[in-house]
Amino acid sequence: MKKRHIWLRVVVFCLWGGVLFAVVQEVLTPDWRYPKMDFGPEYMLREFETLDSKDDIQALFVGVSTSEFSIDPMRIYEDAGVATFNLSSPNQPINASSALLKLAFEKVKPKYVFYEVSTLFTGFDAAPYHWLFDSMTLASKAPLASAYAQNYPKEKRVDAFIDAYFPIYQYHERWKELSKVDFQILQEEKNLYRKGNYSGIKVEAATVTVDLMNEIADANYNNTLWKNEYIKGTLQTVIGESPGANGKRLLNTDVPERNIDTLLEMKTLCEENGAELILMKIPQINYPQYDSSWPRLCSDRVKAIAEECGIRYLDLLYDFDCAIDFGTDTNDGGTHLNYLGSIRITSFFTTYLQNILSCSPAYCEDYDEDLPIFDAVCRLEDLSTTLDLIPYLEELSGWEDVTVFFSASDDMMLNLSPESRQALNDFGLQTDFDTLSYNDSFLAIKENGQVVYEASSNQRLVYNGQMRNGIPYTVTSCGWRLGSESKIIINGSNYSQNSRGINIVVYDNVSGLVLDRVSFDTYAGNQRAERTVYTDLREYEEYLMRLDAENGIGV
Amino acid sequence: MSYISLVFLVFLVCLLAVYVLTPNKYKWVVLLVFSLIFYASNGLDKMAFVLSTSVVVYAASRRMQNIWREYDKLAKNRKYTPEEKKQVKQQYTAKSKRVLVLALLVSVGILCWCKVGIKAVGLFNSLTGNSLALKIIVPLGISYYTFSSVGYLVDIHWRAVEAEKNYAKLLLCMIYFPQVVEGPIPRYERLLPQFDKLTFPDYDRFCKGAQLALWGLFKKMVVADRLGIFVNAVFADVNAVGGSVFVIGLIFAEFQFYADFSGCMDIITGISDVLGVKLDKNFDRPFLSRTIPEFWRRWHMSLFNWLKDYIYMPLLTSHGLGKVRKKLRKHCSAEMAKKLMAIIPTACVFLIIGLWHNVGIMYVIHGLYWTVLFTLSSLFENKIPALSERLHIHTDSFGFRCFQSVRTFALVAVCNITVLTKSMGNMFTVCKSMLTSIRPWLLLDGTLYTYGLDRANCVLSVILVVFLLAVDIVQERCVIRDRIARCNIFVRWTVYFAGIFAVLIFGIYGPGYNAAAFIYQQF
Repeated sequence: MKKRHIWLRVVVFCLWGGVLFAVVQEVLTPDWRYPKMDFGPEYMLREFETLDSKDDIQALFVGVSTSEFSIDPMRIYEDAGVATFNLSSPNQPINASSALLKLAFEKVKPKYVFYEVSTLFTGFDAAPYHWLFDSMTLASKAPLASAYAQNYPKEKRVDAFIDAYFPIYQYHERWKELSKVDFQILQEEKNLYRKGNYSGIKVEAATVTVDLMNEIADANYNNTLWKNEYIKGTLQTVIGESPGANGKRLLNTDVPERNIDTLLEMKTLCEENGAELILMKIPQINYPQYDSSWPRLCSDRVKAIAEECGIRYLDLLYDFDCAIDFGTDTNDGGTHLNYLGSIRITSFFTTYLQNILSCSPAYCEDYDEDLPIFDAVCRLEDLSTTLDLIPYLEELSGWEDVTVFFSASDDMMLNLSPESRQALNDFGLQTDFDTLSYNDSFLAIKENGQVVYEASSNQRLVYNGQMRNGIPYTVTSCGWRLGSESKIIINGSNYSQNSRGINIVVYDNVSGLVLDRVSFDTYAGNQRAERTVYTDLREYEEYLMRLDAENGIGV
Repeated sequence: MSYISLVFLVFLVCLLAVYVLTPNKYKWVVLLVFSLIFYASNGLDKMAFVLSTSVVVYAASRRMQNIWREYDKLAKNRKYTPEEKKQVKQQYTAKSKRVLVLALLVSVGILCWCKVGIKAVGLFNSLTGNSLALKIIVPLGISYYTFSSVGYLVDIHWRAVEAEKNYAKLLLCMIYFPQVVEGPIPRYERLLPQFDKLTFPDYDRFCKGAQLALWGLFKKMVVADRLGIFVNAVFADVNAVGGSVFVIGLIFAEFQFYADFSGCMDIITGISDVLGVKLDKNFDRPFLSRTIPEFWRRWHMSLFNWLKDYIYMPLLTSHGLGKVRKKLRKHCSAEMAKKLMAIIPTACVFLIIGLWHNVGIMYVIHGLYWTVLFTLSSLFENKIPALSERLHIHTDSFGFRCFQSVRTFALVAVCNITVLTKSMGNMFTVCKSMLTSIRPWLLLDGTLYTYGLDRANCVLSVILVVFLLAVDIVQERCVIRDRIARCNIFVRWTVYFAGIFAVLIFGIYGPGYNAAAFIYQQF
């Protein structure tokens, strides 16, 4: 064979091998996020390329998931016309934040960079890096891979670098758990309409208060080691070392030197790129043994560091009143804020950017294009996070093209207030609730703003119907003594929460998605909405994006 | 530097780059330099041992060569009577022998010291109550290069080969990087001439060599290391395992050893093929052997052949055993006397094999087990066909051949208990459990999945074992590499990519794992 042909063959073999390798690696690497909304840094950075000008983005947010959940750049843009982007990710290590910023500065020129300080206190953890670089292309992941490798001892750095660069090294064992989703590698373009914000709509109250967290933290910080011994029945207490001796405090507020160095590097990097680095702390509470707690001691430590380094620091838990209610505004018991909390925090930043940092509104085409989807999703988020019956019905009355199913179970009447009864009637229901007894059944179906069926009885109620789009449904209501049961079966699946009081299911007639399923315990005094299954926001987002892509003009 | 490490890949790429640019005449120098780098990468302190052994071997070989040259000159120039000639030859043989013994004392002495030094000091301490501390460096591939150099010296003494004049080439023979870690034990007379005829690149050689190396990588990383997880877990605590699990463990262990060792051989043979150096075959589909002697003709062939040539045959033909054989002939047939006399050299060979693996009672048992099997096999060699005929068994039928292969496999598997259990107590526990507490339901109730391999990996392991066996069976009839080479480019590339991605996907490696070292590397 001619030499030329051999070389050609070798080159084609290697190229073809490279392509196959990329495909296999993509299949084996897990998608950390839901499909099409994978906003790993690769996509975030790619999003910057769609901007008209490098100066479009006026502020960047980096840090951990608390910041990712709480800061909504689209809302800032909608309210103030200031384009910002959230580059935060779960447990993002400080040197990963720094590496991300390096990458970001190549594409945008923000005036301000906000860094969420939680990870100032933490050491190395491999997983958060994988969240970041697993979805990145080989060309763009170099700074992150190198930052990742720096965490390892010298002899293991090559391995770590390979691990970072080729996810197959880490995930090849996933061959046994591959599913259909993993093979969807040729997806359409990702849509980052939220600009890095991750919205949570769960409402899970915190189990600790700010005061209690600080009380325990102080005790842990000042704790002296002790041991009680009963020797032949006599108690002998041995007091150990003083607090802080040998670094044995139960609460550690030390910041590793390496992290401070990285912070200073970030500051220099920002300065070199004409931006100001601002430290921030998003409110979060938990018991002090968890990383997600934020006692005042930690805050004070950061304040001291910030002062030493000459960096501005905004502690939104202790120094600014963002009116966060840890009973309703958190997604998971105080660690992350939910949609309601995010509105408050975002509002703070909107004001801060406008009034303190004097950011002026600037038109950004990319952001404007995404506003319709953003508004549509926010509308659903508003509905899914409404906690009281009357506002819920008011919110719901604005929705068209939906079918709302009502089904009572057990006793819906005992504490159904006159205002609530009126609200139900205002919603379009005709039943005179004053005449209903505690053990009566009640059901109603309102389709496209019109009540198509409504019934109340002292017997079990079952209604079979069909929506305009042909989807069949069966609604069942049984009051107390009749079985205390609620069923709302749409196309064969039961969506009712089957809880005491009023059970409501909201079905979107156009998308065919169940938008919300909620129950209000109108028997009890506290009639706050209960949701055991939360709205699948991602499914709705996907639907809207599909619709947007098909129409090409926004939703 | 492991053959399956990334560093080795970089090393190989650098070597090939330099190799391709160097004129053919000096390619052996490149091999020597890179072999030295490879050896040094495993510890500079170990270099002293191999270098000193090589100097001793070179000096002894040159001295013996000179002695025999002197003798030849003398025998050629002077006219001796046959009696005188015999006397002179005896004188020179004795001279050569003295040099040989001295060289063997040094090189085998170093080997023995490295192998048994720590145990000997431990024994000395326990007997005398001393607490003598000793740190012994075990040079890389000491058994392999010592055995090969011993063979080389003995061959010179026997005048079977000429001594190499070039020290560097002799050193290259000893530390040639593809074979220094796990063999095969080279025969210098076959290796040395190849270093003078090196060429590169050769497309066909490259393709076939790369194929073989890939297949070796597959056997090591996909099969051996996967089975190893299960085997290690099963034999880690022998008291907590049921008999049926031990059976599976032993079967997996046998395939693990085979895939590990032959995988390494394929990797290095493939690499060496690419470089233009043909290495001796070390495995020849051993699981298809029908008898124990045949198994040993197919398993670790270079070691067995070496022992046969330099231990077994010299002992068998030795003066002392010849005398005993004559005495035995008075009591039994000549054939039987011959077979009985073979027991001693056989025992020596298998004891050396046992102790070559490690020093300890378990390895003595290992050697004795093989001696007994080998001897029985030899003694009943002629009886079996007669018995089969009487029982109307067709010894050439497929069924009987399968039976023989399975029987041989089982006997080898049983022997592996000694290597896997590491102590007499554990060995008896395993044997007892397999005989009295077989508990077959353990194979079906999910217990198997608790030994390091989950369900998917267990199923894959079984598939791989069957695949390995199937490849061996096909190989017995044709050379798969040649068949692949004859296929069109689409099929060929599909096979190559399938191999590469099988290693990438199913290989045992990554941050969660430590790529296991080759098992035979430690010997």
